Amino acid sequence: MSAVVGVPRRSLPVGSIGSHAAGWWGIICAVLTEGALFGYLLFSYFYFAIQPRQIAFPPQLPSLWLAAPNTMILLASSVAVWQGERGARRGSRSRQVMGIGLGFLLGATFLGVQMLEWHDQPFGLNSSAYGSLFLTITGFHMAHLVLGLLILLPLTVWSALGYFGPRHSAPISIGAIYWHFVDAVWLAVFFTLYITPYLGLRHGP
Amino acid sequence: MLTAYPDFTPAAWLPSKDGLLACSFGVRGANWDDLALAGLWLGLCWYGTGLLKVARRRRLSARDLRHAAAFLAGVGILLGTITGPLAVFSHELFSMHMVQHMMVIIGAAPLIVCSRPSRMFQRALPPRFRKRIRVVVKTWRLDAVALVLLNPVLVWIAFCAGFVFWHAPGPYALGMRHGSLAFAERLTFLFTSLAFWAVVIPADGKRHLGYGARLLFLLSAAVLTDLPGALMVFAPRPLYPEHAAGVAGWGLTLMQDQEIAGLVMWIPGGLMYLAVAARLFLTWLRDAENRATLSMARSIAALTFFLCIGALLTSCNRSPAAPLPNFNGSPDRGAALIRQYGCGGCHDIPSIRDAEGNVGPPLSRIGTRVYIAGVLRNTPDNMSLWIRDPQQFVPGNAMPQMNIPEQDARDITAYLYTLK
Repeated sequence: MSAVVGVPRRSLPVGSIGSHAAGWWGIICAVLTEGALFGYLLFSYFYFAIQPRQIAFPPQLPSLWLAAPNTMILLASSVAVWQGERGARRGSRSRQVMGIGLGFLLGATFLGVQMLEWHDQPFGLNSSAYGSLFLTITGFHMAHLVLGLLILLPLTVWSALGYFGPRHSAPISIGAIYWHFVDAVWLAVFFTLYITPYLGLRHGP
Repeated sequence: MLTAYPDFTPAAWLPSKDGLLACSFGVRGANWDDLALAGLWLGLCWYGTGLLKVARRRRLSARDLRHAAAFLAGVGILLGTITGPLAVFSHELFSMHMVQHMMVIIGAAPLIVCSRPSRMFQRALPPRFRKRIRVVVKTWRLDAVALVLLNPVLVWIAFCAGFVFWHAPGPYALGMRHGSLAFAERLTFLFTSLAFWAVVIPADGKRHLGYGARLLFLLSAAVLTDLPGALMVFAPRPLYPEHAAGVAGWGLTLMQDQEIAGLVMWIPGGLMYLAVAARLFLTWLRDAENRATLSMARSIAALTFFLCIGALLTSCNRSPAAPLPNFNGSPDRGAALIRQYGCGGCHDIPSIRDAEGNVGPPLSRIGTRVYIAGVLRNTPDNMSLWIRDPQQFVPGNAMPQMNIPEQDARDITAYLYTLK
């Protein structure tokens, strides 16, 4: 077998045009690296949770009163952005603007409730190992959320100004991918910090 | 030393009537293994009927036999996890319990998926019944439902979530205590991993994910489902105290048992995922090689064709810079306008003095280029539209809106089209 292999040269498109634009590849790579970052963060929480009792967990189980509805809000924002993206593909500007705008508003609401949640916690960043893990993980997520809001806001404004349409919807898709990523990460964070203590992953006797 | 000895009599491999009745009436403390055994034997008989029917018509191919062997092996492994020595030991040792789980997830499930059992299941039914099923599938749009259920994102979430959930200490303890929950646990593992491997190893001719996406799907799930194993190995305290009595019978401590269990989950699981990923990579490369060789052969043929045509054309038509038909614009005035608007500040334009900019693309041979800015077909009308308002087509691109009147844009276009 000594066949010469010629690989057809297909250069990457310039600018965010077409569905698999350079920006699309960029955001996929960013999602992968950031996903790995959260993987490490969550594993460090689990590593902490399997330790013996010396490092104290808070005595009561985490409260779901704020976190569970807040998770629903973030999920709803993802649905809104998805609808906005569909509107962009089908050339309905009102649906596009409303979808992305609603996604932004719901995301901002989530951020506000999350601040409230931080305020209600009895621990601080350096009061206990649990506190620093909790605040580092949710803080990293919050930073990514803020970045997502900073992406959604101009996308809403530019959509309203008619910059994007069915022939030019790549920036919307790219922003939407990032927003869904922020949402998925929150689901993992929520499951880890709020649900696993109920599944028996707490400090043992 | 052992608290219970495995039952090797043939009766242990068959469901008992009393046990089945107890399960179906929801009697407390019923042995749900009987229901699982009954399900497996039903599946085997169903598959066997199909196989016999195909064999009787002498339509059994070597491929069918390979598939049948894979199916038999898969169901055999499942039987082995429900009854026999492993089932007994898994009540005592956490590590044996993990062996049981891994046998379902990375043993039985991929084998059953590879065996493509749906053909034999269909053959087993009488033709009239098959037709009725097809009608039901069509009217209830069950194929669309199946497509949604096999959506890779959903499958990935269900597979990882099911795996992580049932290995958390709380749900695991519940499964040890209640037979019905243990049954639910096994069903979760079996069905999520069947769906998982169906995405990784799709049937020929079905719509499926690309190689890259499948590798990502497989390897990300592999990393995630290895993590519980890693935690079990590194945990400094026993996480599953339900096995305290069982491990004592084996002369082990809870910690030793848990470490073995973690390794069982981590190493064979990881190796299996890695082996499948390596195979996927190899098929990907082979596919790419085939496609590249094909397209090279095609492009050589096309090149020869165009060279011949080109030689023919150039011999009869050599007039340079022919004026554009159906387009009024003066190339000479256009050249002057290009200097006036300062296009050369950004573009390298042949035959225009000082037009050596390196901001936008050079405009040499722009008259024969296929696309303007990669988005617009290069026609004279499109070109003058683009010159007047480039932001309309590609918002945010670097070419400024210069408020160029229409006739000026047409003259500039006329000049640009002389560049061939």
